[in-house]
Amino acid sequence: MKAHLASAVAPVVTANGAEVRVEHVSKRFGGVVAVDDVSFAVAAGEAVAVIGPNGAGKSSLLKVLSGTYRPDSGRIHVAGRRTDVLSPQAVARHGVSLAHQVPRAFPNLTVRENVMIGALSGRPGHRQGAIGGVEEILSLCDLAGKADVPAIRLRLLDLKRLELARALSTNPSLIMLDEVTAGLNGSDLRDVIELIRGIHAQGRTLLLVEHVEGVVGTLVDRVVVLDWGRVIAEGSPTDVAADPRVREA
Amino acid sequence: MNATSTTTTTATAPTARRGVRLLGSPFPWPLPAWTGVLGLAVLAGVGTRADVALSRYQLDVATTLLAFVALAQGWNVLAGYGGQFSLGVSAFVGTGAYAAGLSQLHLSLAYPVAMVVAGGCGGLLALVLAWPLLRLRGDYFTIGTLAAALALQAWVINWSFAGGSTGISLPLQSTPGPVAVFRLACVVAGLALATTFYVARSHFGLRLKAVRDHEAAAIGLGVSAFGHRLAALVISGVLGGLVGGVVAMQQVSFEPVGMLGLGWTVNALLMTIVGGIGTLVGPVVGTVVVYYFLTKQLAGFQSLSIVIEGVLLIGVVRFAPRGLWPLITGLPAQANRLLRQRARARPRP
Repeated sequence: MKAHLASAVAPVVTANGAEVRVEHVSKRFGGVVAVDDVSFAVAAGEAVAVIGPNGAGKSSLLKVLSGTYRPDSGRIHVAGRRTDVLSPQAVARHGVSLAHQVPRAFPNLTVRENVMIGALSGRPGHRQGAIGGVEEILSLCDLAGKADVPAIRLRLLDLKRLELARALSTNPSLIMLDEVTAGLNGSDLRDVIELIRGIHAQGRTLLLVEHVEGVVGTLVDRVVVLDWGRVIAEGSPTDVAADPRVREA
Repeated sequence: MNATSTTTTTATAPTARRGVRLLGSPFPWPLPAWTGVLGLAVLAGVGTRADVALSRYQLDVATTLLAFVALAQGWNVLAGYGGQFSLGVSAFVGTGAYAAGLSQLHLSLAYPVAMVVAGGCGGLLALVLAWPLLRLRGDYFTIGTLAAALALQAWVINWSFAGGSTGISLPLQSTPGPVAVFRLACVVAGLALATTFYVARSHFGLRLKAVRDHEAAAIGLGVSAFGHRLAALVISGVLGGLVGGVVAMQQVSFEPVGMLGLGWTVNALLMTIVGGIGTLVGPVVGTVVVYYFLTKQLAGFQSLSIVIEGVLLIGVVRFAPRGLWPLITGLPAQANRLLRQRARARPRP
């Protein structure tokens, strides 16, 4: 299975060195500081998890990275380009995509059409043969049999798969997953974890926000811990789990 | 998931799904834009023979019908495919009519050129209105369009250059005859149908539908929501302007209360919603039902036709919210489902 996933889509060629560089990024909502002077870097092809308690600013951080929120201060570089000054659609076209915790499918469009949107609008240089790419993404995400079903008729597991497929459709070099395993358990959870592993195996940089500890431990190389909007620890999953400050949080 | 089964699906999928479907949004798109152009050609062809076949009255009815088809499709593109529920249809129709009328009166333009001016001014008005209106979403956009339409009407009523509340009359020597106006209506309706075909089937239309369904999600996939909303508004503006041009030449003399009145808006909404919003054929069906069967056939009983229109709208919204055309095309599937249920209910020997 793993071999198939890795061979289904050719690996993405990414720039050497740091793929993502976050420098002193802050984001406030009124009086609440959601993201407070956060700095970290992710190497190309690396898988990093952002963890922390509820309200720690994890999702806000991802939305700042995706361009949905503009940071109040700080800089973000992705693949050699400053992205915090770009519009959200320009960030998406630059190769950054975000899969949301609550799937955001286009309900009246079919599964294939849902995936086509990103293939047509995403990172340039990919649109040639974008349609073929769509079929590959659909089979990678195990949605090929449901390609003509309107998204409104999908059950939760397939909606999660579609959310991942759509995040993949823009051919991102950085793919961010915001608790996509939330609400899943048993074999459904294992399926989605395998799928995330397959996406990472394509050579894409992975940044995920997760609650389920098993997911974090098996998928990522490194963990960044947020609390009250600040980075309180950083390191390998086992090191971080042993850190007293993290235990406290 | 297993490797062999997924590879075979991938290989056969693109070829296996070709077929003609008028509804929904299948892929690959079975009806390319040339079908719309063909429709346009057929309509124009009918137009060339119309003078022999149709009486003056029938010609007049057909012209109005075609103008309404174009108007309903313009609103359908904006509201049905773009999700922007506009109540400003009359502003574009009125602008087109006045642009055509004034350019013929004061610049002595030939009527085909005046038509182009009408469409252009409709599009230009959409561009100007986009600046404030596209900052609004949902109900606020709707109210904004209504306010713009009413403000424009109030302004034209007081605009002495355009005749104020008495309106203007086109110069008789440059006004086309009924057959020529009918042909114009054919071309405008054909253009509207071709545009709707394009919007329904193209990649542009797919992105527009994505913006309609979930704007933030579409932006996250790299779609320019502003650009697509603007394009839908301009398309509907141009079509509204062209309809205004046709109506101006058909009526010859018009005034702002009628030409910039809410009647246009109500009709475009009613026809599209009754027929089937967000479908290709629905607005055409709706136009025939509302204009031909209700307004024209019951012309002698105006209050009755208004009552029936109201009842029809309530009935459609309550019992067939997707409109009459999806109701009709859904019948075979409905019958199939019933038959299958009955077959399942029957005990097996």
